[in-house]
Amino acid sequence: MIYAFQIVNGLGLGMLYCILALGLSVIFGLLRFVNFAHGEMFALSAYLAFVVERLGGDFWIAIVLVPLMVLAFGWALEKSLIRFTYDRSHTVQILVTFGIALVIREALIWVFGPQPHNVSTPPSLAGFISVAGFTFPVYRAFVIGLGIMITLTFWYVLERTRVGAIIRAGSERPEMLMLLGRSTSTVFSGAFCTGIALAGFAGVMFAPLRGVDPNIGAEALGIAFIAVTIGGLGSYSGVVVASLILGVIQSVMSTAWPEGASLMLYIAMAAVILIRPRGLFGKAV
Amino acid sequence: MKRRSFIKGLAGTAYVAAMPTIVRAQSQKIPFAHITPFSGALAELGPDTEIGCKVAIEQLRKQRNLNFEYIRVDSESNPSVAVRKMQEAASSSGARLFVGANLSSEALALGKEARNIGAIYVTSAGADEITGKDCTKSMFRWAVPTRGAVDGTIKPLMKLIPNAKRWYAITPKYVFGDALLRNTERVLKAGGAELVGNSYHSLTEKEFSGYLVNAAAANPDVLVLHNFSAQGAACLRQAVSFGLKSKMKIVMVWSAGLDQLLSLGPDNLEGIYVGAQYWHTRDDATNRAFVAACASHTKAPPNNNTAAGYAMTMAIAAGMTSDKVDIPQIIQRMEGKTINGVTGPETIRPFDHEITKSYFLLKCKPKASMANQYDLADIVETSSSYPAQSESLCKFA
Repeated sequence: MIYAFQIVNGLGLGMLYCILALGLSVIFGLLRFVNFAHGEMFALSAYLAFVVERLGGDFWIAIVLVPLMVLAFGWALEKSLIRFTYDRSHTVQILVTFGIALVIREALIWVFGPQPHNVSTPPSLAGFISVAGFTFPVYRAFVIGLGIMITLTFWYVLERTRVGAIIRAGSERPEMLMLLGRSTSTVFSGAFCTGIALAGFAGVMFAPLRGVDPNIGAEALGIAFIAVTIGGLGSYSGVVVASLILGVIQSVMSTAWPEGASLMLYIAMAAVILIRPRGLFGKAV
Repeated sequence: MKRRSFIKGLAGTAYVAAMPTIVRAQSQKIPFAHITPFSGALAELGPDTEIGCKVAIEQLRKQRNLNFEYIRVDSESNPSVAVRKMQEAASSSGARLFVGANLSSEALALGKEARNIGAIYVTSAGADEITGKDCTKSMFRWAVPTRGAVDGTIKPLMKLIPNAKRWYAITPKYVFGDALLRNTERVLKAGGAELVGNSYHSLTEKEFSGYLVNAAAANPDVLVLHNFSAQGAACLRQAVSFGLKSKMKIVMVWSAGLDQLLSLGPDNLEGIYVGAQYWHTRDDATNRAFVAACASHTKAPPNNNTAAGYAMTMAIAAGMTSDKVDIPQIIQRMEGKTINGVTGPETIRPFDHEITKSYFLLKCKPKASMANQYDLADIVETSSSYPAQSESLCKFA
């Protein structure tokens, strides 16, 4: 029975990881751009949710406002810095985004201090659901539901709409897109901002679960990279499946081998890299 | 001699006579280094501890004319960096008096280095080895160790809820966590209760839902959290969100004190039991004066780290009778001294350099009962428990 519940808990946890990893996957998948600042964008969003609460706002205001604020920040960043690195090597992209990450992290410590802070669970989502003697927080259930909605919406937009087709075309054949009279810079900018907005959603949703502290960005980036690596760099469906697998592994191992539960995430990544280097759903290069 | 010449001469003589004193006061600053993380994973420790050191230094200057010259040393949450920076502070500033670093790995490394360079080092780190098998003549410790923390929380809680016979623990898998777990098992066994299970986790863990499922499945009366700092806060927050607070009592054996409780907020904390090295509402003249003095530096009441900074500085000052820094003499004078400290009487034991002090079991209040945002908990028990000399593993070389 406990393992059955751990699997359920793990699927929920996997959905949380999926929200974390989606933004990173979208940016890499569409732009072939390695964004090491993804974790700090997540952290910035969580801190902004904290600020909204301190200013008297609530979670519902934060979930609308913060992704827009982070999107605006991402847009400014893309226009002023990131777009100059698209045609550079991954090393340059990593160095630039790593630098941005350090600046954001130190700025957060400077403004909010190194101490952690609490972000309240919205009162309407407080409490828990009891099933067969086990309990599950309502807020987690809500986050999972919202995560599924976001995942499906993005999949639909990318795979079934004209906008999605243009974005995918821009990622695969930018020259062709230009010949057809489309601006690749607008498409790239849009894709980058979309990934950043996803980090914004994830930050706001995670804040009541974990609180905020200056280290949450690094943790988020680690999880996101593991999910993206296992799923296959740039594979949208891959990141969803990988995140769910990671959640279940971690949750089940919490009972089977508790002290190795986190370690198993890295072992899973190492195994995939060794056996199938392009990831579970990645395309062969 | 004319009257004017006489007065001039007298003034000149007085100036010359006073000059050595002035020169002496200016030249006899005592380099005093506070070595603690100000950056890195535990960056939050430094600024708060620093306030405590500075309050103590101000008091020592006014009350005892000891002129400590404060030197901030950032250990970067890294033991090897900490050792290198201690060496640098000793060579560049001539510092031989060190306090700080409540990261156990840093403290153990610094204790050995302090012995090598002929310095005194007072720490507030928790590992039992500091005053146990890895003790040095140069190192002192102001913090109740794991044994005292468990005795100070689990024992009184067993009295408060005598029907609680089934206990479950969540423990970080490393030396410190193991020591807490070992002591919890000892106390529960002696009190006729049972540890029905334990979930170990890694030191990097932030997601505790899986361990909480284990705890819920064991259906205990009490959940014991042995993790601390950010992990302790994350674990407690998730335990509350999973509804465990309504099913069982929860006790956090080793909290980081006020800051940690503030970061969790009263909604999460209500009814939770917490062990603490210091609590600002402890009511006596020394602590009231300390809290008031801290108010001139910060708007918030002092927390564990601030109290530690103050107490460690005062412990070194207890061994000084003048501004002369004679390390063997200061150590000798510190040994056996009792200080009227912010946690009550604090005695420096000669055989292991443990500064014995009180440990506090707090019970967190409902939001409606709080007088202000810092009034998060009441002290329900004050205790002091240390290994006896016969049990001590400390052998000074």
